[in-house]
Amino acid sequence: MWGSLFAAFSTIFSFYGIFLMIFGVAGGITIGAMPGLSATMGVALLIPITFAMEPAYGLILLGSIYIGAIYGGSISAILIRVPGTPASVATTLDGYPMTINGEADKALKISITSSVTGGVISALALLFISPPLAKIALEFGPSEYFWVALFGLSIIVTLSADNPIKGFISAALGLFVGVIGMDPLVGTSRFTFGNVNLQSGVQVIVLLIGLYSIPQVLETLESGELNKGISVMKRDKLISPKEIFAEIKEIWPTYLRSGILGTLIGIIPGAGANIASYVGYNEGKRWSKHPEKYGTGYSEGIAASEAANNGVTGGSLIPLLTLGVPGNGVTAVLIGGLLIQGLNPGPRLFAQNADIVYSFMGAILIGNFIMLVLGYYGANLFVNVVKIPTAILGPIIIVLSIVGSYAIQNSLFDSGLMLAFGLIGYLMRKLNIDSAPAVLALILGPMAESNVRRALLMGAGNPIVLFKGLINWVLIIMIAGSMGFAFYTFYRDRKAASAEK
Amino acid sequence: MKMSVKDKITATVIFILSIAGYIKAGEYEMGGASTFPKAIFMGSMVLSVALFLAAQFDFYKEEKKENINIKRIGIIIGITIMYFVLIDIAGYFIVTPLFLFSLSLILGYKNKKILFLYPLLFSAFLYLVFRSFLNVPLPMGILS
Repeated sequence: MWGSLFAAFSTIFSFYGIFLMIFGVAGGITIGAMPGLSATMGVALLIPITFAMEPAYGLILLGSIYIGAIYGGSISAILIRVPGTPASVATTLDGYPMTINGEADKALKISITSSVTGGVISALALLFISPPLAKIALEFGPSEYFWVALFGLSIIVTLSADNPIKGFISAALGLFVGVIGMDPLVGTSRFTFGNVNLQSGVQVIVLLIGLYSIPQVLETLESGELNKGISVMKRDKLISPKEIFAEIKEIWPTYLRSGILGTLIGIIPGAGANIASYVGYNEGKRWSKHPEKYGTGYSEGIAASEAANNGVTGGSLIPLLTLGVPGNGVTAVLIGGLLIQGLNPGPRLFAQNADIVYSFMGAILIGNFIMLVLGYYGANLFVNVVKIPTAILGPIIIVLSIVGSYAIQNSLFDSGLMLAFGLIGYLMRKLNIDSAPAVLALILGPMAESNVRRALLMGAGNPIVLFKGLINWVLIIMIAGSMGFAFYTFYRDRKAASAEK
Repeated sequence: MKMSVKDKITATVIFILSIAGYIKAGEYEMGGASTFPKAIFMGSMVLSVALFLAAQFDFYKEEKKENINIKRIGIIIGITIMYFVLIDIAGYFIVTPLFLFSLSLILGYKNKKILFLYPLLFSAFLYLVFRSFLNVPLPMGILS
């Protein structure tokens, strides 16, 4: 491990590597700070830039954008009470009251330091947990992978939707898109309708750009208030590094607790930064010496949610790199990026492309320190992006989406397909159907299908092969548990709602 | 339109498409290629029935209403589709600035200097990034 890590540092600390990290983190913060542009959409829109790069550098850039975007959401949450990304909703609770009280500078600095703490904790977890986990995962055969894929599907569908039926419908769409193209085992063309462009299947990135960027733009543009930028409140009281240090000394347990919680939540597929920030905030309040101050403009409240949402970044990459299972939208996009680079996410990546994996993991760690510098000194600059009127931003995003999906295979067919998915995604939003399960199902569906068929082939067609061994049973129990939990919460909420009526 | 009505329409559409998909999947019997798609479509049929019944019996809590501003959305989608069609014929360099300009104008943006300058600058910037940096040739249409 150490040998690979040191080798990776030569890539990370090259001039190009550092440039990409600065560019990526700054770009990520900019995207994150813009309300309406989520981290997923940012990574999806910028992924075409990485096509021409060497895989290690492409991943360094994507990882940097990811961590920057999750942090960037807090800037607009604090200064204008509009969370840049859903992961920063909890940050508004104490962030904006601090701005009103004239403590915006302090709030921004608590936010960046706690975000970096969460990010570093999770990057270290990623570095040290992934390699041994990948070793265990190497023991997995097709039947285990089938259950892993099913577990990913079950937990994602149930956690991401208020309404499990609609969540499953979204997943069914993703599963269907996943079977378009040549069959993985016997090569039969499925649902291509004679179109050669569909022979190799639908590119994950095409679906992602379509589902994440076009519906968001359409919704923003239709909502009115088009040509007004948002005014940003001036920061009045500047705070010195010494004062910040004294503040951190008071509330450091929250930094650590939320960072660790965020990392753990990140590892669970389906949870993600939005949930982490709320859990971090609630736990922060529960353990705080001054819970009554939460929500009134208390710096610990910002730290509690920000350390947690950035803790998710490294944590969510653990199942991605060790099992090839995406836990949230951003990691699904990253899988798309890996696939385009010719890399198959999963345990073999550690054996076959150790240099690339360690460069990626190392960049997540070092990128956090770059983010500390950029965020500490530049947060007030990044917030200017919220002044860009949507009547300009919207058309630009549409052009980026069309040109970006074209660039994947130099094919306008992909751009058309992206637009079609965009319209489907827009309708899905209007019908309250979450699009995240569709994207994750597109990745997990083919994984489930090819592995179950391979397992059955190896077992001479006898399904008993799927139930042999301890790991299979552990996974089956986990699937049953996650589904049971989801339906229980759904039932409980429904009961509470009908009692209210 | 009430969400329960929308859900019933959605459920019916999904049900019909799933039957069509299931029949189509029957064409891929060789080597077990049809099993997985068939399972997906069967699942979709069950889900569409569940969605219909849930809407009929008001099974879940009140969901937020989403109204569509049909006129504005229609214009935005129409212009976007026109941009997509024309990019192949007239080329990226002619259509992109025109698209950016016209959509911003229609959306009510008024600063004339920015309205004329930003489409040109952004199109040139994106072209340079893709052509020189990423080596992706953008469609040039009649300019090629």
